[in-house]
Amino acid sequence: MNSDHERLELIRRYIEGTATPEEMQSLQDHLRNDPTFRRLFARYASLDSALGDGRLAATALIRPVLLARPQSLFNWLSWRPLTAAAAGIAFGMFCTSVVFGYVVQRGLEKKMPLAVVQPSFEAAQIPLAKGFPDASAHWGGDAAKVVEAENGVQPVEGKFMLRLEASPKGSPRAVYQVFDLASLPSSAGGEMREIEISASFATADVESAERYIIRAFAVSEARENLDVAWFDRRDEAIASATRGLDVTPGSKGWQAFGIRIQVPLNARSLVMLFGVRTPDKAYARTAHYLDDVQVSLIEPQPLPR
Amino acid sequence: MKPAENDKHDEFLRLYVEHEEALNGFVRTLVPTREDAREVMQEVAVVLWRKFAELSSVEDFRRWAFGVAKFKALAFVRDRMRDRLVFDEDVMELLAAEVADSADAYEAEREALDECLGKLDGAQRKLLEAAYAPGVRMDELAASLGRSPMSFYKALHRIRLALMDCTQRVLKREGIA
Repeated sequence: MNSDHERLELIRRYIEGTATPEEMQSLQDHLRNDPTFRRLFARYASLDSALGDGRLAATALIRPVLLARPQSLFNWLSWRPLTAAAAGIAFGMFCTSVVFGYVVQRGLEKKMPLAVVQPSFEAAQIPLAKGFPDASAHWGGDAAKVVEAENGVQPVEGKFMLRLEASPKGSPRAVYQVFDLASLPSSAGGEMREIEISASFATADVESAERYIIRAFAVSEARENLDVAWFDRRDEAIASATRGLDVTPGSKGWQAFGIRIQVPLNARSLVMLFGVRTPDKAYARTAHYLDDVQVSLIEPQPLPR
Repeated sequence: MKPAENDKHDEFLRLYVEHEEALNGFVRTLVPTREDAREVMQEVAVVLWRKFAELSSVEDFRRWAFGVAKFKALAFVRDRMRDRLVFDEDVMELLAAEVADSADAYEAEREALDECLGKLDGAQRKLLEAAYAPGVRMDELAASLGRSPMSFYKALHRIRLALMDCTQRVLKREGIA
């Protein structure tokens, strides 16, 4: 019989994914034979889940803010469905998905748009590289095509959007762009630079469910030295950020969200990934669309006195 | 969507949002990581919506949703049995019964958590916020804070245990526990 301390350690190591097979066996033996321990484990796992669902951001708020322009919500929101619902904050753009937003006022800041290449895909003939974007193409990735409105989906603005083609095996689909951080203005000082990346996604079939993903990697290599092999070394990135947006069946229209990443000064490139994963294989052939990619440098502004 | 479908969709969303946190906790108890739980939950949402018309009474939503979630978590774990440390099915069944049978108690504990989070000191709070930020890698985070991964994990563990003690005190004070 392990001591209480040792049994709690078994729970901790399992929850953190560091348990050995022997510890796993011991944990399972305790869970089978001791109802009190079973409850303790379930309480611990439930707490871990609750802390991971955005509750921390929600309780840290200074004041909730209901914004009139939903397009700017993702600047500050983190996901916390129940608190948001309880607070009566539901945002129109997400009203048919299970995603609700919680807004945290973080002080004044200025967003300086960065020059992303073809953020709205308005040139129908923009080069799209197969695989990782190379010198000849700023966008690259899985099969994709610039298209006009189709399947009931209108571009966010302008005439064109990017269609992420169906995946035969239902595997995730993604496109990339590499941003050259050397092009940032020299006035962007400090040890870290904060960059916000946002995009809008839509589906051709509102009955499908999907997870849209934005990922960003700050890397020390120059843009011209990055190639498809880099993706296998992505864990070596200096900094990375990921956010997924789960959309339930029946959600119509564009789903916009964003992430922020703290980019150290020694990072030379920012690799941005925009992807979609469809868990239900019945919808693996559904087309998805990407539009209105925005990348901004965030510059804190002093609070007014 | 037609009006009737809209109504159905709205009702589904209301119920889903009402019980989503309980479902998250339920699934998290059965699968190894929070990321696994997110994957399972996405599939659960799809099945719940597809089969929503089969639900005889909205009063039964939580029990029904837990049943679907258990099925999906079992399937998820079966798929990964060869390469992951996962629970045996009999253990998952025991845990699922524990959470489903005491769902109200777990919900009360989650509600008490907000008060307890407010009692953390600044350093504890920052540590938790960093550890539970989306996409964070614990080893990188520990290194950036100048700590070993083990020391970092243990500090987190102590905060979680303190929060569990606190929620029990809150519930006792309110005559729930």
